Parts: sequence; structure tokens; C-alpha cells
Amino acid sequence: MIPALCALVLAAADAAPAASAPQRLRGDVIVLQAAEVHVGDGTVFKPGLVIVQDGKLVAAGQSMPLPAGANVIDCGSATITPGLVDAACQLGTSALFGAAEQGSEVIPQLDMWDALDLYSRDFEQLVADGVTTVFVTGEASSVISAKGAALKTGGPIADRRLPAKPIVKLTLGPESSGRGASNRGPSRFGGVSYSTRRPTTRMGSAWVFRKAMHDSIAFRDAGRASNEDLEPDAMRALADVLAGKTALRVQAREALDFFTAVKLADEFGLSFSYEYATEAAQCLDLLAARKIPVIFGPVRSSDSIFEGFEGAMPALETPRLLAAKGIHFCLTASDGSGEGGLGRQAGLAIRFGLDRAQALRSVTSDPAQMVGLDGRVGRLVPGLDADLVVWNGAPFDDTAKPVLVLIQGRPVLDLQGKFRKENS
Amino acid sequence: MVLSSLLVAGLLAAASSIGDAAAVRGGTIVNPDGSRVEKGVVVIQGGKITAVGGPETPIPADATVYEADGKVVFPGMILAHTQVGLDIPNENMPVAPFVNVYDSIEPNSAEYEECLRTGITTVHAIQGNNTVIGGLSRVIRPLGDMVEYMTVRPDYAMKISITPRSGFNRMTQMAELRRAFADLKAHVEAVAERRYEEEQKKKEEKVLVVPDEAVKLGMEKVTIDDLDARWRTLWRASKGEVPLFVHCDRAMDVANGIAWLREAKLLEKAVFVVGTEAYKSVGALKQAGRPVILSGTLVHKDVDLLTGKETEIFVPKVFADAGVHFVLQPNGFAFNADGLLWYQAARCVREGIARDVAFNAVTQWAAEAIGMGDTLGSISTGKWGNVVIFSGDPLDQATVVEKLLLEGRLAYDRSTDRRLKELSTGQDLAAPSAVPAATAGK
Repeated sequence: MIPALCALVLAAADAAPAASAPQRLRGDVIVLQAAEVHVGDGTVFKPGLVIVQDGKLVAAGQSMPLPAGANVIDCGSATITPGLVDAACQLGTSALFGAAEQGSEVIPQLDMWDALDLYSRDFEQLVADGVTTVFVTGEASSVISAKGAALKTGGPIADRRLPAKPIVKLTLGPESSGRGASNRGPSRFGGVSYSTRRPTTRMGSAWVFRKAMHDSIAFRDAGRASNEDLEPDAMRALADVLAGKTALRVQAREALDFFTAVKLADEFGLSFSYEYATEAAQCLDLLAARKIPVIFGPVRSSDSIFEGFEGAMPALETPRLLAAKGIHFCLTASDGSGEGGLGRQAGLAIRFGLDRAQALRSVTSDPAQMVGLDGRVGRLVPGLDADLVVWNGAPFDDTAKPVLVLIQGRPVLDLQGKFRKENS
Repeated sequence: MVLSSLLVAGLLAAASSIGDAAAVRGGTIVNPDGSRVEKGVVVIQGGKITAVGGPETPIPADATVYEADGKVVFPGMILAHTQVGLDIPNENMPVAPFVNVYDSIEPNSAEYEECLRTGITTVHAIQGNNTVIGGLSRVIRPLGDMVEYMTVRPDYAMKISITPRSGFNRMTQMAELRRAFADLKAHVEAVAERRYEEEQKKKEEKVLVVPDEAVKLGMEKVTIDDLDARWRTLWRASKGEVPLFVHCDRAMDVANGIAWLREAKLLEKAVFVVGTEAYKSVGALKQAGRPVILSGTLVHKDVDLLTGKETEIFVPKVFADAGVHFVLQPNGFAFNADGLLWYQAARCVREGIARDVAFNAVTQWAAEAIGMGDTLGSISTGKWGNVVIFSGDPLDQATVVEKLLLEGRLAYDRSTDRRLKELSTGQDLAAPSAVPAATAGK
């Protein structure tokens, strides 16, 4: 069984464009051996090894002949998983004058890439958490946000950006109507608040979306602007949403906002994925019936039984419930890191009943697939980027953490000095 | 009698009367000293542990037996310094040794229910840190409908803060602290002088000594009844009769605190409640030899003033490496793992601290910090029967508290925890619509 699997893996390696069989490897080859290798699709090799060359994964399996001259790194009793992927990250943007645009509520023509600070310390923290790929979604204080951007959290700056599918975000509820604490603007200079922004109600947010869509349809059909508030570029970008060329994401915490999102989507014949989804447990049947993908989270330390944003707090078993209903979902840490990071989100999901293998998928291959990057990241299969995490225990356990992180084959975190030793 | 009043509907299953025996059988008994007993038996009689041993340990015929096959049996954990369940834990007056946390404890607080759900059997309820001299604290069980029934140790300790309360500076803080004790001294001396004069009058003798001498002669006649409530607690504290929980947020506060405690000859009564930056004073704290309660944050971010470079220090590791007995407390009080005391212990293990040390920091050392090291903190003969039945390794992500015995009585049972089910699934089980008639009977 196992040798057969390995043969399969090697065969796949042959088929992959950037890969070749181990005996034909060229250049720097890194082999990582560990007690367990979790591929990220449910497959686990015990013990396992992965072979990396030229930033790509060449092979993963239980045992196979090592290529001559390979740099073999023994990770001992550790576990290797794919690098984690966050499909709704809110970190890495410049803190001041970053992503909270005050000029308009509808900014789908803008690109989050322009608000990212690749030198932000957020990325170091993400790497320390084992997160290697993030899709940074638009800021929630816009009703229709800028397009999200996908990037690696480490490695050479020039190699960071990834070609994710275009996604804009509609935010419903308190963030976009300017009341929430998360309506982060340039707070030092007055901030974004109901006194400086419209809309100021949930109805207002829905109206801004409707009006923008109607304007965009009119612009598309008549070829000229009918709304002096909305730039032609914004309306062109919304036309892409209507045409399905740009995907729509909806951020909403409360169930009532989710129902509004469904109404709005129906009005314009749109489909959407559902971000934040604090009260997803209240909408399970509708989510399942409509096959709406869910990007759930984060569960924050402040989401206690005693407080919650607007009284909304996630049902603790939400990931398990989503899985049980067969709803396509992944987890996000949003702007959380460290104790609130993506690994912890997976750990909490496990704590509250989610199967461990699915928990791993929900922070690797599932989010990669949701942002159209499953051909690049999210699994340890040949041909994908060699983004991987070595954990000094079971992944997501409270007593374990990432000790070695590779992005495109390069070490970006090396707590035990494995690579220093190899190079000395 | 008293214990029977502890029954809380929905939490206490299978009520039995005091004096009944209980036994936990078949689980792995894990103690903070590192010892383990496989398929162990714990016998509790009259609220106290009377036997701990292997499967051969005899169980009294009348004992209620809790089966724990495949489970981990762990001592009840202790919050050695907390404001959970307190209604407004900070007093506005800077020097208020006369207040009593008794008046602030909210027995019906959901936070006490949460304590049981998360394996905490003993709570030291003490005023917040935003004070100069706080009032008396109380060690309680997190169960009961009146403070009297919850009480383990009444009027136990006081809070003294070396770190300035919000809006004030360190010099003012220390000046207020010193002045409070100087005021006390002046007041007690005046009382002593008056007492001497009264004694002389009783004996129909004249007061022939100078005031200083009268104070000296009268001082030994002063009893607590001569002082009004404003001064009593502070007077007892000044004589070293009250443990002092000394809040020192920063390392410089630790230094100031130790200096003041030495000056007041009260160092032996101190328990240090420190912030993350206080890791820098680990040497002084070790030398002081007193328990240290760490901030739930655990990680200190040091920013280099010149380069702006940030370094993260895992604070418990510093104390563990120095051999200081430190105590953990949860960061906030949230339902998810952040709010779990054992999650803090797991974080310690993640950062390279030995498991035994991490276990001690939530049990035995916490018990010692509240002066109950001989009574609580481990599963040992003679100690109180506070026992947690965990579903597995207490440091595992997925482990939960299945049952909890408080002095031998079942105080929490996960299988009947309706609120937990609601929190987990988001369904309101009390609402009629959540229980369709067709399935209600199942």
C-alpha cells in the first residue's frame, strides 16, 4: 500500500511541470525527514519525507531513494504540514492611511496591493504562526471594498505577490455603517465615524450596494455615467462582478446581515462567499441549500460568554457544524496573530469537535482553493510551491508551535537552526 | 449542612448528603509533583481525601463511585488572584483597607459556573490592582448562592499596589502608601496615649509621664476593639497578621515594593502580583523568596529605545529557569482556550517549560500562594477532595472537564451542562422551537 502510494507520488512528480524524478534532480535539493508528513488533503506519511528543489515541492512520501548530494535535514519527531493559508487576512496593511478609504463607500476599482506594507512586522508574526500565504481582503469600512491581494508572507519581496482571483468584498452590518469598533480609520486624525461617513444604518449599507449595482448596470447598458458620486472605473469594476469575472465576498457577523446578503445577491443574480460568519450556526440550512462557501472566524479571546461584538458570538462548534452539513468552509484569523492566529483558530475548531484532518485542510488546501491558488499552495504535492511548516509536536496543539518554516524552499523561520547547521 | 446549600440546580447532579464517601476509579491520577498512578483510585470521605492508590485500593461500600477509565484525574485548579465574579472590583478611594470583597462577590455570576466548567475549584477573590491599599479578600468555592456558603477563608488578604493607580505617578503612589501607615501609627499612638490616661484615671492616679512615655505604656493595652473599622484591617496588616498581595506591574515597582516591604518588616507576608516586564527583576524576586503570580499575558514585548527593535520574552520561562515558584492566571476569562488556566500551562510547555512545573503553576504553587499548600493543590491523603476528571491529557487541545468534585461532591457534570450545549451550537435549548415535539422525548 505504502510503496504503491510512493510510486504514485513519484509518478505525479514526473507529470508535474516543474518536477522530475529524484534521480534526475538538479541544483540544490533539500530533503526534510520527519515523524509525520501531512499532505493537507487527508494523506499522512508516518514517517515521511519531502523533497524540495528550486522552490517547488518535488515529492512527498513515506520513503524513497534520496537523490545524491541532497541536503538532508532530519526533523526527528516533528510533523510537517503545508504552510498555512489565510483567505481573509486583514494584516500587513499600512496602519495609517492604509485601507480605510474615506473618499467613497464603493471602491472596487482600487487594489489592496497598494495598501500593503511588505516590511510590516505583521508578516514576521504570520511566519511565526506558520502562515505562508495570505489573501488580504478589502477593508470592512467600505461598503464595497478594494480588490483583495494574495501574497507570500516571507521570502524575497519580488517573489511575494501571487495571482489570486479578483475578489471584492461587500461589508454589511456595523463595520460599514460606521458604528463598530472595527471601523478602523486613521484614528489619530479624527477617525472614521458616523459623523464623518455615510451610511449610518444597516439599511444604508444595503442601499449603497444596490445603488452602486444599479448605477453600474445603467453605465454598462447606456455607456455613460449616471451617478456623479461613482467613478466610471468603479462601475466598470462592478460590471465585472455582475459578469462573474470578479468574485463577490460578503462580510457579515450577524445572521440578519447574512439574510440581507442573500436578498441582495438574488436581486442581482450574484453568488458570493461568506466571510466572518459569526452567526453561521444560525444559518446552516440556508448555507447548505445555497452552497455558499464560508470563511469562518476568527474566534477571538474577547468572544467570551460575557461579551461579544453587538452581542454576536460564534457558536463554539461552528466549524464542526459546517463540516457536518457538508458546507464548503475554511478558517481565518482575520487580523489575529500569535495566540489569536490561524493555527489557534484550527486548534479551537479541533477543541470544539472538528476532525483534525479537516482542521488542517480548513487552513491549507480549502482556503487556497477559495482564492484560486490551489494550483500553487495549500498541499504538499509535487509541483506546488515548497511552502511548509515543521511543528515540534502535533500541529495546532497548545503545546506545539512552528519551529521551521519554508517559503518557496527558503527558510523564513528556523528556531532550531537546522539550516544554519547544514550550511556551516 | 453548609454544603447542602451549595446545590445549584442543573450543575449538581446526584445529590448526596455530607459525610458520604466518594471515589474516583480507573483514571490516571496526575499530580503536580510528576507522580502518576495508572488505573488509580481516589477515596474522599467527609470532604477530604482519605486514600490515593492503585486499583487495589479499597473503596468504602457506601461511596458514590465515579468511573474514570481512560480519563485523567487531576487536582482542582486554583485562581490565586482574581476578580472573577466581583461586581466592580476596584474601589475609588486610594486607601480603603476597610472595604471587604465580601460585599462585591456575586454568587450567581456565570463566571463561577465557568470556573467549574474549566476545572477551577478554588478562587481567591481580591480587589483589583487600581488602588493603593485595598480591602480584605476572600478565598471561596465557585459554587453557592450566598457568600457565607462559598467561603473557604474569610477576610484573608489585602491588596497593596506599588504600581501607581491610573492617572498618578509612582512618587505619589509611594507617598500615599507611606502616609497611610504613618496615619495609622499616629492614630494608634493617640489611642495608646488615651488608653494609658484612662487606665490611670481608673486607678485614680495622675498622669505624670510625658506623652511619648504615655504612648509607650499605653501601646500594649491597645486592642483591636479600641480601633474603629477604618483602622482595624490596616493595623492587623501592619503587625503582619494579613497576607499582602503586592501588585508590581514593572520591574522598578518590584524593587520599590521589596524595599518598602523590608522597611515595613512585611516581606514575609507578601505575595507578588507582577506584570510581564517584571521578568527583569527575577533575581530580586527569587531572593525575596515569596510566591509570584504572573500576568496572564505571559509574553513581554521589549522595544529597544534606540533601534525600535522588538524582542519577545516568554515570561514564565524566565521564572522557571530561575527556579522561582510562579503561579499562572488566565488571560481574561473567556470561554475559548485563552480563558482556560490549563491553556496557560500548555503555553508554558510549548515554550520549553517542564510539564511538572507548568502543572505546579496552576495547582500546588497556586495553593501555596494563598497559604493553603497543605490543604489544596494535589491529590494527596489529607487534602481536600477537589478533583477534576479530564477527558484526557490536561494540556491537550481537545481535552475537556467531564466531571468535577468539590470536597467530594459532584459539582459539575459536562453531560448535563445545558448552557455549554447552547454555547457550542448556538441553539437556544430553552426556546420551544428548538425542541421539535416529535423529537422532544428522545
